[in-house]
Amino acid sequence: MYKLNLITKFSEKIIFLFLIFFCETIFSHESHSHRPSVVTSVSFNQLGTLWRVREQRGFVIVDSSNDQGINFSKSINVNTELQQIGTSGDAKPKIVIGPEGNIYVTWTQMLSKPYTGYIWFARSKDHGKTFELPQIVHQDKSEITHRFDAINVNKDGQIFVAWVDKRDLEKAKLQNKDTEYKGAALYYAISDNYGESFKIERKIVDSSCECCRIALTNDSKGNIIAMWRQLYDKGIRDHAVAKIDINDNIVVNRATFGGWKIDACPHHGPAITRGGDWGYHMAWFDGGEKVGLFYGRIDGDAWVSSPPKRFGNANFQAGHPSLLSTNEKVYLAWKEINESGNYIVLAISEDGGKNWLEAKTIKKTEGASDYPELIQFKKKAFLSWNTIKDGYQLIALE
Amino acid sequence: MKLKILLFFLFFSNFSIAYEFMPFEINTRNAIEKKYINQPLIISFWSIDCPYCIDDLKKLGKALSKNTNVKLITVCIDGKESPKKAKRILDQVRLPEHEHYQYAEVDEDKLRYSFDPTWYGELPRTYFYDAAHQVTPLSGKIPNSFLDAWLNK
Repeated sequence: MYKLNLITKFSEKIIFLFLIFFCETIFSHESHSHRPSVVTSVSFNQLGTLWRVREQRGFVIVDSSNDQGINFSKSINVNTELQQIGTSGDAKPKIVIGPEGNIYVTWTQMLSKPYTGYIWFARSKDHGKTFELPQIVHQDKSEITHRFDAINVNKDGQIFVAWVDKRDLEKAKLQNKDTEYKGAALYYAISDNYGESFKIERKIVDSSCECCRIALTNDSKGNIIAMWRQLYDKGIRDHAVAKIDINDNIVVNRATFGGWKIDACPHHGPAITRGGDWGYHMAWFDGGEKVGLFYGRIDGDAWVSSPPKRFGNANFQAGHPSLLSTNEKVYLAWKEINESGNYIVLAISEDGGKNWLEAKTIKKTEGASDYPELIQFKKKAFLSWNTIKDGYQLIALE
Repeated sequence: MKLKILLFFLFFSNFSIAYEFMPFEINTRNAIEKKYINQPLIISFWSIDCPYCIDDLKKLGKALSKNTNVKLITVCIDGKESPKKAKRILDQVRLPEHEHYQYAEVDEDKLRYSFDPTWYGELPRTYFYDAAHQVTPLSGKIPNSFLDAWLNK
């Protein structure tokens, strides 16, 4: 009887310990989310293979499709150690492909202090079979804001990575200056050796917006053209453009004049793409009284912008635009939301953005969805859009 | 027995940290409005990634400790974040006892749209309900003058 009692007590203890262990396992995970992340970025390589990057349970994962997004290869992990990867708001991992065929991926690792992060870069030299050990792009490794990575590779294979950086704000706080440092700063680093290493980072501008994505494109010579939300006097958050050449000459100009005055994180970054010889197409969101999505052109010499043209329905949250230009044809896609779900609207211009055909809804989904991305392969335009309920969508555009 | 007590303590301490946030869903706005009918109310939407939000929460906490008739509700919009991390930030802000929610819907855009179709995702976003539930929405940092005027209305 005594033995039986002992056995019963022992079993009780075991069951109890098991229960505790089970509950701990369920409730104590905090380093990463179990929710699926919907953000996705894609690029075609020179052969028409679609390369895709996403985030899954703390890993940046890459896969590819040879049938325009219907079937994908088994994905491979890019980072070797679990990280918290930026996927909310305007943040997402990015993928680009160099003219020599190298595949480049960037992402933001969120650190434990609020708003802090590191910008990571990884390269594949064997057409995506393997990725080399990732590297942090910036030499400043303090636990401060380095977030909202953007990457561009030009026709000569030079890689340009830009991000939002708060080192100047932190410095100003320490110096306790009379005038407050407003916003964050933009920094960039260039790789001239196909991603082997990056030169020391340099500043583009002070007082950028803190939490909006940066848009990058190239001029015909391969110089970088960047567009971002900038903090102007009296708390106005309009957009700026910069031309950055390979010798680090930087020219910054104001690009939009919406006058949205707000001390907030808008979470709405712009889009920019090169048009003809005259300059660039731009699309952006403005809040405030004139709330809505806008399109404008800006020339690449005097940096004068055209009057903004409104697109989409502000009542349905039109925002998060993507732009693509092939010859005189311009594609502008954006996301809207209504009671039944999210959908992507597309507007097309056939004369370099002067006149626009009627915008059309091209895809809907009922669940969560990413922002749209327009990409091209041999001058053919595609819309890339990831959704939770309807899966990944690649749509060939007329 | 000692082991049992210790394990119980461990289990419940973790349990309570993980579940202190109430889930914010499509119908939560209606439920809050019903629950606090005829009471002044401030609903503050914030994110771990938004520096302005933390400043605003501190400001609200200070103001409402002197205006205890106004109910405070905070909503962390980082549905994908662990509640532990969100709670750690909320603890640093030292708010008075209040109801705090975290987004529970996977489609955060839809949740925002259903709460207020004229809110475009900018943060902080604060809703000031007077006793009759006339709502004044405010995007961005709350100006002191606005807060004082609203509290003294």
